[in-house]
Amino acid sequence: MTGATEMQFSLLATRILYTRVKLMCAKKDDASVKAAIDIAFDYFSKNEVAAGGDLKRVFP
Amino acid sequence: MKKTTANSLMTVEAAAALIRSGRPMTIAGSEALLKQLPRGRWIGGTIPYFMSKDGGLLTHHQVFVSELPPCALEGVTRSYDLAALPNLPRDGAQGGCTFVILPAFSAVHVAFGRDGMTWPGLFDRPVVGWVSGLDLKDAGQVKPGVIDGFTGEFFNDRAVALHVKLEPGTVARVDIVNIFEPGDGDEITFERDGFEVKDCLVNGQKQNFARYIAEKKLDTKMPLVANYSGALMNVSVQTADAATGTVSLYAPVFPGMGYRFAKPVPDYAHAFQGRLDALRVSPDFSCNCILNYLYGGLEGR
Repeated sequence: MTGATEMQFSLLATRILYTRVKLMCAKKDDASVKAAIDIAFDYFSKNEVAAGGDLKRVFP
Repeated sequence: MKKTTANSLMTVEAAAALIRSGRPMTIAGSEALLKQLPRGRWIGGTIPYFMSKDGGLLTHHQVFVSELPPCALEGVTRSYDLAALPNLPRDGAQGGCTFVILPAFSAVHVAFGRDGMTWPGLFDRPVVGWVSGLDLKDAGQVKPGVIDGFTGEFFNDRAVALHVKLEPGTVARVDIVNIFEPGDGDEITFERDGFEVKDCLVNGQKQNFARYIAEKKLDTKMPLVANYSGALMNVSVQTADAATGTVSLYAPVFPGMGYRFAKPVPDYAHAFQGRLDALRVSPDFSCNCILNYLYGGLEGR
């Protein structure tokens, strides 16, 4: 995942989540970045079926 | 989800019969009608503006029932005051979805809009819903409300939720049909979040937002549009007072997001139909923004 290319997600939830994660990471402090990673991990873990396609876009 | 069995305007008597069938549902209508309904697995909110099969309609004589489809196995209702509201997302069933209704302009509405994205569990399962309102001729005289159909309690200051368990293998998917897209004008950013704004940055230059709108003679019927990684989100202007330098918004703006006023949409109904057709979906639950109804002249269309 880099800032150079905008990710294209199919689910509305992933798009909002990704925006949230980007805003948290923009704070650039360790706690915010760790929290952002945890939120993203939780999301893809708990929505494996619905968001599986979007996860493959992040990690092809 | 399969097609729901009831998703339409109906009399209080017909809605009562559906409630007694035990199916989970959400109901919209006038306060007096919602209070006549029997207890059951439903939540409701006040609003007299509807999109009926015959087009937009303002009525105080019918309620709009959105019965959830058969794959919605159980529905548990709950109300949330301001202190409990951050627990709403994680109270839902694993693998299920949650429907929520918030009274417009209440503290829970403001908190949900401003802080909801940070609450634990928000991304664990779909949360979808709407903000209750009122007949605009009653503005200032009555407050928008919500009702917990299981207890019969009516609130002006609490959110109500219907936490639904879904049939195994079924997934709820939420999406937005947005007829607006960002215009070609200035990029506007904000240094603080909130529903009320004074200053903003226009292409990076600090300005008073209300005076910027006045000077540019911008049409405040057009919302601000932000791009959430491909999802276009609207923030509509409620009032812009150049004298006090204050802009009130129907939804919060957030620092770090770039906003542009939307391109004009000449025909809301036509634009919406085009976007909906392109999606090729038949939703089990849907709700519309009252500003689309009013600004788009949807009554009777």
